[in-house]
Amino acid sequence: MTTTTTTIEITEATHLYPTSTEVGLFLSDYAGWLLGSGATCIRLEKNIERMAATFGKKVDMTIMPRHIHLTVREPGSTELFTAVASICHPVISFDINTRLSELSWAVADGKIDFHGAREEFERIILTPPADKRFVLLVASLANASFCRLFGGDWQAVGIVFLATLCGFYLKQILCESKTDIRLVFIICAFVSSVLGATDALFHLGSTPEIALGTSVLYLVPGIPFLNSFSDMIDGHYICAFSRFMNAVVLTACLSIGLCGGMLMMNMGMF
Amino acid sequence: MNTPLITWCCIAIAMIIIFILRVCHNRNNTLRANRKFIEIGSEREEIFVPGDRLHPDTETYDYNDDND
Repeated sequence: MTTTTTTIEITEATHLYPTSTEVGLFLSDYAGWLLGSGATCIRLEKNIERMAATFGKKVDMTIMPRHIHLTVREPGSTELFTAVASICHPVISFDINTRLSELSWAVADGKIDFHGAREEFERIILTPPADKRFVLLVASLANASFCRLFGGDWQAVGIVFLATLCGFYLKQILCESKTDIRLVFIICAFVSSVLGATDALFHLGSTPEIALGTSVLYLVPGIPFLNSFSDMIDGHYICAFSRFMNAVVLTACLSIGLCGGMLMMNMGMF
Repeated sequence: MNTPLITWCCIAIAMIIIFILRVCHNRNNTLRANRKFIEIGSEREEIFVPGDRLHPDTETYDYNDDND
């Protein structure tokens, strides 16, 4: 991930007083994973500065949408190290995000030394993803709950549950096969909206429009939107704009799929 | 038949076919791997929650991240 390749021989002395190169390599890996796991820029800055201060270093960072430029230096010394790290975890994971933040606190509180932090980091990034069937089930239940919250009757809730189940299942399959995420959003939104229109098609309940509208809510890119606003408030305008545009593109794809479904089902504005 | 009903039937049938194919594919993979259909796991495996430590002997940290 890190473009700079340096071989480090970790000795007993480096456990207590790591060099700027060692700290820079570790922090660049850490930053790439933390940002890729869905952390905001302010979280990244705080965690990195917290750990660097513990190791007796100063860090200057440039956070770009896909890369992080990081320079580590020791106060009062001319020695410095610069690394360019790529964001390496394409799927948002709050589990990894939380555990990496915990790691930074553990380092800051002196619970683990540099070598221990490195080992713990290697363990964290090997965290397996959540069980897909479990995620599929709870996402479907959550979307069905949204339908109920928006005033849908129980027939609509059942239909939204099934529509989400099918759409999310399809999303998992397509993401496994490395299909372009924009195409995935269009297809899944189309399938979910067509199945969400079951209520209207067969006249099962009294709230078909709520069933249709909430059947695609699971595709709304909420985290990129929230992170973009957080970055904007913190002054990281490039990252904020990048994340916002990414979220807008995905929302547009969702809308295309939804409009296609509504058009085919003769519903709503068409 | 009208267009909405045809579309709905196509999507529903396609999803059923995809589901059946995936189940058959997974079953074949399971049989090839010679895994047991039912087995008794450890307590940790049964109640594992995503996010738990992979190594149970390592220390856990519980810090409030908002205080920095």
